[in-house]
Amino acid sequence: MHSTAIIGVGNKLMGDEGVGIHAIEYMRETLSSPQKRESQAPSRDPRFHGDDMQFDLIDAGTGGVTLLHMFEEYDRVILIDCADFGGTPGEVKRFDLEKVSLTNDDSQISLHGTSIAGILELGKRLGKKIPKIDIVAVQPAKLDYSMDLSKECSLSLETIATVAKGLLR
Amino acid sequence: MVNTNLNIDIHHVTRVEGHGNITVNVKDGKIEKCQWSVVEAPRFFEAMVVGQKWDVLHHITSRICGICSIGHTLTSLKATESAFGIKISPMSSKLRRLAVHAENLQSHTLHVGYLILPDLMGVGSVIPLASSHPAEVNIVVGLHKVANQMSGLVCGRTTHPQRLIPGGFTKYPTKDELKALRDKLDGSWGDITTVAKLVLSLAGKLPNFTRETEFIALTSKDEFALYDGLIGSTDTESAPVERYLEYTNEYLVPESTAKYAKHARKSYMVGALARINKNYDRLSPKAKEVAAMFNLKPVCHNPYMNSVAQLVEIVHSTEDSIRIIDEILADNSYNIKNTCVEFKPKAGRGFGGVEVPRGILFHDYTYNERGFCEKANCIIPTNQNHANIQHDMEALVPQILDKPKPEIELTLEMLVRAYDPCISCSTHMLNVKFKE
Repeated sequence: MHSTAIIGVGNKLMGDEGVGIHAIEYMRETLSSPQKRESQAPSRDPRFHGDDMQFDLIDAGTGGVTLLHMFEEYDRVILIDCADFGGTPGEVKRFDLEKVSLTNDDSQISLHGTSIAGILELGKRLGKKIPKIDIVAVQPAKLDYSMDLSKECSLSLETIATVAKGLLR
Repeated sequence: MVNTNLNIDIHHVTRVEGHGNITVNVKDGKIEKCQWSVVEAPRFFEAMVVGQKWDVLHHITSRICGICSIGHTLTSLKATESAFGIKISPMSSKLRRLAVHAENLQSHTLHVGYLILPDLMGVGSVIPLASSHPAEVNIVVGLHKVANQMSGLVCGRTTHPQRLIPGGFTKYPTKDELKALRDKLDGSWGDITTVAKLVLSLAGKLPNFTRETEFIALTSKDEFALYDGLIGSTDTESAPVERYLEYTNEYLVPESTAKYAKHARKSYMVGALARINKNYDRLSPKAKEVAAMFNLKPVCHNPYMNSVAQLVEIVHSTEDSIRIIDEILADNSYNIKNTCVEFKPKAGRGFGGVEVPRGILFHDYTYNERGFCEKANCIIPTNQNHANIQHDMEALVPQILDKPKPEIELTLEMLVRAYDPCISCSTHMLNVKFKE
C-alpha cells in the first residue's frame, strides 16, 4: 500500500497547460536517486526519497477519470496542475481542496479532461476512499500549441517542487 | 402537432469531448437551418512532430489524447516502422493487440457507463446516477479499473504508454503477471453481463432512426481487425493503409473548424458500429451472443446503436484478450528479454492505421536519412464522422418535428453522443473560485 503521491496532470503539447508534467519530470531529475522496489507498479516511477520522505511521483497526463483509481491507493496526494486563480504568470499557490471550488469549462465528467471536481464528487457518492488532497496550482502565462513552458513557468519549477515537498512534511 | 416555428441552439453539447454546437431553425413549418458545427480551435499537432527524431514521435502523439493515447502511440509506431521497414516479432504483435483491447475496454466502459447510461436513465450525468444506482456505477468503475490495470501492465502506464517503442517493447510482462490479468478478465464476466442486461432493459429508449450510409473500418480475413488490416468499406473494395487518402478525402466547411471527410457517398461513419458492420463474422462467440441480444446485425444503419456496438466490443475485447494470453502462457519460447528487433533509421515515408475506440486512425510520416520527421499527417476518427453527423441530423429533424422541443434537443444531443466524438482532448485547465 502506497501512502503518499505527488501527481502531475496536464497536456505537454499545450504550453503551460503541461506544467504539472514538467514539474514531475523536474523532480525526477533533481531528487535523490530512486530506490527501485520489486513491488513497484509498472505505471509509476520508482519511489523517490529525500529528506527522510518517501513518495510516488506520477505523470498522470490527461487520464481524466483514471485519477479516481489512483486516489484510492493513497492516503495523501499532492496534485500539481495549471490553474487560473487570477495570479501573476508563473505564480505558485497551494490550495486546500476543502476551501476552494473547482470547475472546468463544463460541469461534466469528461473522459479526457481532468475534471477533478467531478471525479471527487463521484468518488464520494460511490463511497470510494478519497485521500487528503492539496493542489499546487501554477498560474499559466501561455496556453497554446507548444511543447515548451513559458519562461515564467520554467522559472517556477524549483518553487513547485519545494512547495510540493513542503506539504509532505 | 408539428412545430411550425422552432429555434434550437445547443451551445456546447455536454458529455462529449470539446465544443460542438447544434442549431435548428424552423419557420412556418420549413426547416431553414439544421447544422452540426465544431467550434473548437483547430489543432496543430502534426506541425509539432516535424523536425523531431523518430524515437520521440510516439511519445509526442500519445499526448494528443488522454483516452486514445495507446491508439495514437500504436499508430505512430506503425508509421515509423513502415517507414524504416521494421518487422516486429510475432510476440510483440500479440502484445500490441492486447494493448488495443485494453484501450477499447477503458474507453468503451467509460462511454457506455458514464456518458450513455445517464441519457437512458433520464439524468444529466453520472454524478446523480452514482447516488440513485451506486451498485451499477460501481460495477462500471470496477470494469474500468481492470482495463486500467491491463493498460498499466502491457503499456507501462494507464495513459501515455512507455513500454511501446519502435521495433517492439522495452519490457514484456511476465507470465505470472499475465496469468493474474487473465484471472481478472475472466472474473469480470459477471459484471459485464450485468451492464449488458441493464443497457438491454433500457435499449427501448435508443431512438429508432435509420439513414443508409457507408461504414469504413480496418478489415482482415484472419481476425476482427483492430491492430492490423486493410481499409475496408461496406460500399467498396478494400485497400492497403497506404491508400488512406483515397478514403478520407478531407474537405473544409465554413461552419466548422474541423475538417470533414467523404468517400463513396456524401459521408461515412467510423467506430464500433462500422467495425461490426464490416467484420461481424469475426467477432468472438460471446460478443455475437450479446449482439444477438440487441438484434444487432450487419449492416445496421442506426447510429444510436454505436453505443450497443461498443458494448459488444467490450465482450469481444475481453474474450479475445483471454485467448491471446492463453496462447502466450502456452508458449514455452516466451522470453521477456527478447522484446525488440534491431533496425536502422532511414529516409522514407510510412503509414499507420489502427482501429482506436472511436474508429480508424491514420498517421503518415516522412523521415529524412537521419531519422528526423519532415512531414506528418494524422487523421483522427472524429473528423471522419462529422459529415455523417450533419447528414444524420438533416434526415432526423423532419422526422421528430412533432415532438416537444426538449425531446428534440435531447434526441439530437444523444445522436452526437452516440458517435462518442472527441472534438478536443487537449485542454483541461482548472478554474478556481473561492467559496464565499
